[in-house]
Amino acid sequence: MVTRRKRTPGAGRGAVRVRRFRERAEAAGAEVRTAGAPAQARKIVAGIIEEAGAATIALAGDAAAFVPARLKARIVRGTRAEDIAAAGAGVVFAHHGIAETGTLVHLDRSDAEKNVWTLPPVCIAVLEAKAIVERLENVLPVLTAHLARPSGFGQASLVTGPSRTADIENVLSTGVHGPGRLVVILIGGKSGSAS
Amino acid sequence: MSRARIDPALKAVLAEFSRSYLIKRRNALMGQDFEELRALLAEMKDRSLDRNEELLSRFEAEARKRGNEVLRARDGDEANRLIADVLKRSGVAKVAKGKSMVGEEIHLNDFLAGRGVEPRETDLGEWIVQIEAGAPTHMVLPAIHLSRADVARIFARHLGRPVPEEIPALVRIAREELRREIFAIPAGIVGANALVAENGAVLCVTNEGNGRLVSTVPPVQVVLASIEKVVPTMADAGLLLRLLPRNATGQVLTSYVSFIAGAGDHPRTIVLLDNHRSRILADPVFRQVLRCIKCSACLNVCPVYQVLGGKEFAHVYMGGIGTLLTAWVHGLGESKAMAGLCLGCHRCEDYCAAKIKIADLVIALRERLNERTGAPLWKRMALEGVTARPAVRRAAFAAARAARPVLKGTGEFLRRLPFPFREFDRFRAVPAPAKKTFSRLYEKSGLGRRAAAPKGRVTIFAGCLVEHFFPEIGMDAARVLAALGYGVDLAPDVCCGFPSANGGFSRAARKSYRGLIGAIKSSEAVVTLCPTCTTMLGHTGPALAGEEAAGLAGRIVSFAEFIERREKKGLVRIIKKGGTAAGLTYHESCHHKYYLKASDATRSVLEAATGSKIIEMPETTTCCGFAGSFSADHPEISAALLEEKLDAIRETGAGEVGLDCPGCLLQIRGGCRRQGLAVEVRHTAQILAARLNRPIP
Repeated sequence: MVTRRKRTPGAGRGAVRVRRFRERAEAAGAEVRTAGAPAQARKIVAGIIEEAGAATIALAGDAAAFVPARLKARIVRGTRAEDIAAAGAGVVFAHHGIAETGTLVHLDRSDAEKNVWTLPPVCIAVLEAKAIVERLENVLPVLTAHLARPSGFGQASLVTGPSRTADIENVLSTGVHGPGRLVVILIGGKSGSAS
Repeated sequence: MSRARIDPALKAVLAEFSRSYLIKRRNALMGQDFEELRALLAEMKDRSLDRNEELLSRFEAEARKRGNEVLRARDGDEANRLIADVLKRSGVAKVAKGKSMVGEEIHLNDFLAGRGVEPRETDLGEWIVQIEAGAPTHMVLPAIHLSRADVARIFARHLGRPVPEEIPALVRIAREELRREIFAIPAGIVGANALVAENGAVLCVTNEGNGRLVSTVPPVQVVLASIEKVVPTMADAGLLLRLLPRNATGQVLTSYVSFIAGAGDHPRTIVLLDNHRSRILADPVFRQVLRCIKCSACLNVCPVYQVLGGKEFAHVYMGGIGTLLTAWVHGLGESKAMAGLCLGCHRCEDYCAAKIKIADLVIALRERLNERTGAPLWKRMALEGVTARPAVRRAAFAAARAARPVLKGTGEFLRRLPFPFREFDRFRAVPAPAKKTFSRLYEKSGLGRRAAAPKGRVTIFAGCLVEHFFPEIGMDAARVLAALGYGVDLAPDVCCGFPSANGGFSRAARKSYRGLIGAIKSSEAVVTLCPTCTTMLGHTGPALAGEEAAGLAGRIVSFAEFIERREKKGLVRIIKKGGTAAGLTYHESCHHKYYLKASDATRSVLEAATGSKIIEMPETTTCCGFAGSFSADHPEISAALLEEKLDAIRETGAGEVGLDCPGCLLQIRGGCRRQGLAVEVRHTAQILAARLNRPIP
């Protein structure tokens, strides 16, 4: 079961993978929206920020390309955790997705970047459909390479759905420590209807 | 005999939790080959344990290369001291904690508080338990014993203001409070789910994200991990991730999985704790305990944990696996009461992610407890002095039989027991000893002298309960086998040795078992009527007796499996046509299901014989609460489990309950009697014999 299967790239398989990712991510409590191109993604990001009523937003470095240039919300400057926590939403970029579990993969490069994923009440994560792999084992080489360099930041995260707890009466609640909402914006994923 | 306390509200919560857990787990494992995965995991953990020191050294080197400080602690005291020193040298007076069972193990919070460092739990459940001043009762859900009303009361007292009894509001309050605390606290301590040797990464698997906050926000960072957590590579960590969340909470993956190899922006100290684990590693019997990945699946399916919860069935660690860990990390004496609480149903072993033989190891632990701390006199007398000595044992049963006229009440049950023994029969009528033993009845029947045996001969091993209390089961089994064309011999009435083995008296068990090997002369199949005897004869005994048992072990077969394997077609010839009007349900006896994996064989035989589908009862696989001497040791737990079983039977509306174990029959029939439940409880052999199409004497 755990031997790595060779991935055969191709539109057909890719579409199945994207659909599975979407189903699994939604099952884990994430919201998934699809965008044809980065321009459309920027519009969706702006919409969610507005909908969330976020006056300030925090950005993880590589997500900047997916935030509209003209935005009502102020962008947090600097890397202080307190400032990131005070933002109404965080916008991040996921390096990979795992279809089998609906997971976002991030190769962390700073504590601040990790905090953008975790501290604001809403997390908006941009993911390119072509970066979705089938199984956890498919991203292990990427993670291994990222963690291998002793000089690097040397941390990596897998995020599946919003922060959750069932500690009171085994009833599920979201947002106990991390974001209560996780919105994934899938670029180039044609499966399912775009919201 | 200590009495455990049963909290009915907690019992209901745990039952519901177990039910929902099983559904979520099944869904999460869909498309996964659990057996293959756990075999791989067990093999990976064994391989890692073999190289433990080498892997720890590698981990240490790699983690240091990435800017971390790595310290080793021989025991809890040393780990506590090291952590307190790190915090003190950073001038820290308060520390935020992620969930860590190892921290609980070494009582880190108390130690830090004593050193003037205030610990603050940040996992919601742990935080609730901390401000309640209690202790976690489950490894994954620490506050499972508290209701939302309890939590609201605890919060209100802590915050000094009224708090609504609604879960979303309670969670919101926790977020605000803990967020404020985490930002104000200058240090964080987290546990680890694995340590990756090849790159010095600490693996943290969480849902709430508190571990992520605590390992990122505070400027001083500590990781506390026990040494068995180290695995060689990222691929091995990947295997762990494939199994841990699925088996722990029925999630395909938890919300946050963090690999922390680099020290990040803050200094990080990793404390590696031994605390007697090197001793476990050196013990060939108990070493597999260290395969445990703390998924808690064993607790979620443990019938006793379900009834008692983790306050009663715990020292620090809970349940069967907790009993084993406790014996080593907290001392044998601390594990004694827990060791007596294991039913030996083996259900946990079917769910363990690392294939740990938990119930077998608890028996091995009882052995050590008997050796080192002594066993109660009555137990020693019964399990060493009586069962292992055929003459003494026969005399004891003969005496019981002689007293039958005095003891017997109505039906085949004893009179109500007098005062000091009242709790043993309050919930279940106890059967009277049979007027004649099975051997005697069989001899008188002349069945054994019949010459016609076209299919050859088989030997019935009846077991104590059938021989002395339920001889009709033996007679019915013999009739069915005779009708199928077998000549039937009886094995002599000798104890199989299981009660002694189970109590941790392996010398007596070995003696019983060896006596039996000598006494069974035939070389044909030995058909058993009790799954516990079958387990002893075919599995436990051979492990004790070694080579000597080679000839016998392979010939042991339960009645149901014998019919299913050899006579499924033959059965159709000897059984009357027409189904059962009353409806038949089936109770899976623990050893039959979990050890012999034979329940499906019975189902198939019963359905073939009755010509109708079994009406499945809810929770068919949980123990009825008998479990031999367990029901005498813990009548209150036995009664609680029986109650659930009777409810399940009632729910089916069936008029007949089939089962394979005379012990379960004793318990369930006795319970039906007390509750006035009009249901026939029968052994598989009886159900078949009642449907024979021609009379056999």
